[in-house]
Amino acid sequence: MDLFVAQLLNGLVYGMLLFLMAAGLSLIFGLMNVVNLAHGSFFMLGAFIGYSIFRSTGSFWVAFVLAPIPVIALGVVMEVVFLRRLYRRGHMDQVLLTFGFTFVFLDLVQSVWGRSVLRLPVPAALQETVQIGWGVFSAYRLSLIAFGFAVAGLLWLLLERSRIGAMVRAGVDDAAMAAGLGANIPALFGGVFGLGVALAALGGVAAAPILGVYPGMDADILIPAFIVTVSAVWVACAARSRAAC
Amino acid sequence: MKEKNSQGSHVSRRRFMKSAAGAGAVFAQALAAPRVHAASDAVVRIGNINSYTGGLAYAGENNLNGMNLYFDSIGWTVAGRKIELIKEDDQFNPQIGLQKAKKLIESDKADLIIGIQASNVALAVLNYMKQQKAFYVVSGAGTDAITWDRYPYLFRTSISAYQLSMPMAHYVYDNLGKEIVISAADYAGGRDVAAEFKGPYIARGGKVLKEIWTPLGTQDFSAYLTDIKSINPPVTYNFMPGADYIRFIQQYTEFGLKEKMQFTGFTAIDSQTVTALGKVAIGVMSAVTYTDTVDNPESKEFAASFKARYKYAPDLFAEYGYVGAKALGEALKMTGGDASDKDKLAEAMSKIEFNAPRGPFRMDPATHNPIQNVYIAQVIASGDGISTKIIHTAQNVQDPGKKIY
Repeated sequence: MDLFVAQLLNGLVYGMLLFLMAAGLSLIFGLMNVVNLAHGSFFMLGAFIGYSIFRSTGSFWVAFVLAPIPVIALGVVMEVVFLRRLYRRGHMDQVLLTFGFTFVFLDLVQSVWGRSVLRLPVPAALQETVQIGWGVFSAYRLSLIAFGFAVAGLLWLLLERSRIGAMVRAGVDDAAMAAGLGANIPALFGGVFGLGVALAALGGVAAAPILGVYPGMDADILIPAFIVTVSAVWVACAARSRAAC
Repeated sequence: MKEKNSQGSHVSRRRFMKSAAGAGAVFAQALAAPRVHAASDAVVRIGNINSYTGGLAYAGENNLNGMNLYFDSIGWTVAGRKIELIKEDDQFNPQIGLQKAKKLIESDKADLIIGIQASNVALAVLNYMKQQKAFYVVSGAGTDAITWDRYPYLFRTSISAYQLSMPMAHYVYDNLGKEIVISAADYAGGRDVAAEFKGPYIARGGKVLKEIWTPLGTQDFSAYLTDIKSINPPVTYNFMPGADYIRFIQQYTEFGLKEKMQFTGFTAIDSQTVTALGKVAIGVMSAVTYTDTVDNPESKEFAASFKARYKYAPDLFAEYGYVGAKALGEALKMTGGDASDKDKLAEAMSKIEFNAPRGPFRMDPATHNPIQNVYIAQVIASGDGISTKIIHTAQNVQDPGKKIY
């Protein structure tokens, strides 16, 4: 039983990291119908930029808060300048473009930070360990679980209970009608894309103390995150039995 | 994937330009005087395959830097012939490694291939090299099986899994614990390292409580670590390549296992351990052939010139590259720079013997694997950072060249 609880918590921690990635992916895929293979790159960039901020300020928390900002800027530029032109052209073109971007970002990271694994230490306040059954959990891992649930709650509130969320949902159902009613669809979708990127970058910084910071972490996290996204969509479709799925 | 402009590749590109210009000159000469056969001026074309992207990228880059350091020291010429190094990236993927070997041998007409850090890639390339009867120097991958069938044109200048695991098994049994849990990555290299530890450890009287196989590229080791903690052995033996190892050691420490059970490993102390783990690595014990604290004149000189050139301390992968290039260079000197007569080159390689940074290095003519010292080293705190201390030396360890465990 002890072992069971310990392994359950282990699973939850990794699940939360995947959730942060998959939430961004499914925001972008589910709401905007865009397949973004460069999503893992934003995760990686978040981790590397977080590492650099940590090296210059010495604070994990500053890195955690600031690192997503340049990544969001990069993501929004990519959306406005490149991706936006491909919305009408189907998934295959989007896949080609965003897959190309994964190489660009990987080369960028390797030329700036090199090829070695780097490490972002766990913040001092969360270094203590908690014994649960056979497992020893760092406070950091436990707080990751809490963080994941908090993000899930906020996302739900934003999409289901706020005015902006209502406009986004309207835009997804019928962009022309929503635009006619006064919603600024390009800005709205740019914002959703930025939010997805922000989640990936935050996930990157949050994962860095556990998984390390290294070129190639983009692909390592993207594949399981995609599996999560696809199975989540499948489960949601099965539950609602919506024809649109 | 395109190759990156690291320090190492910059140099090789510059070298390439030089040798390309050289080749152009030879060509122009040949046009002017078509009857003169410039065989003695022929370029020695060395194909190089390493993992320059993926989890072993740092190992590949260190290996290349070590090779470049040696070739620089002889001015990229041997017995009057220019040396040209053609670099390819296997991406830690056997299929891609095989494609790159084909490219190097068939379209680049390389005289031989040197390099390869990943055991699975090294084995995939071996079969192709046999078909082509091509010359093959492994300056990294430690899988035992590569020397078992005695391919006459294969030489290894690094280590075998047996060579490091056997002394470690004896040291662990004698000093650290009679019961152990072994964790290793589930691929050719990991399976070998675990088997070559388990055999001598059990033969001496030890008991393996559990063997844990982790998939290559495992992100989260917490399930395995929880398992190890519930078994509670006095000591553990662990091996994963590249980035997996860093994550494993990091999480091993995070789970509080390091204070309770001594961590022992296989080539666990390298430049990556130092840069990525820093103080987290303190206490880690590993069998290695080289650390920059090996105490001999060759080691000091190598570390100094490597640091002067690349601005960081060399690790065992850099030393594998340096020694591999040097062994090849010495053998080419003996054949007068001739790499086309493979039997002559193989005979020369079999006789290679010199004092390397790792200590005395002697090629075993029977197995084509070096006879060399193996060190049990531990990461210790040193001032603000970390350093390594050699706590035990096994002299002149020889690989059996066949399956014994």
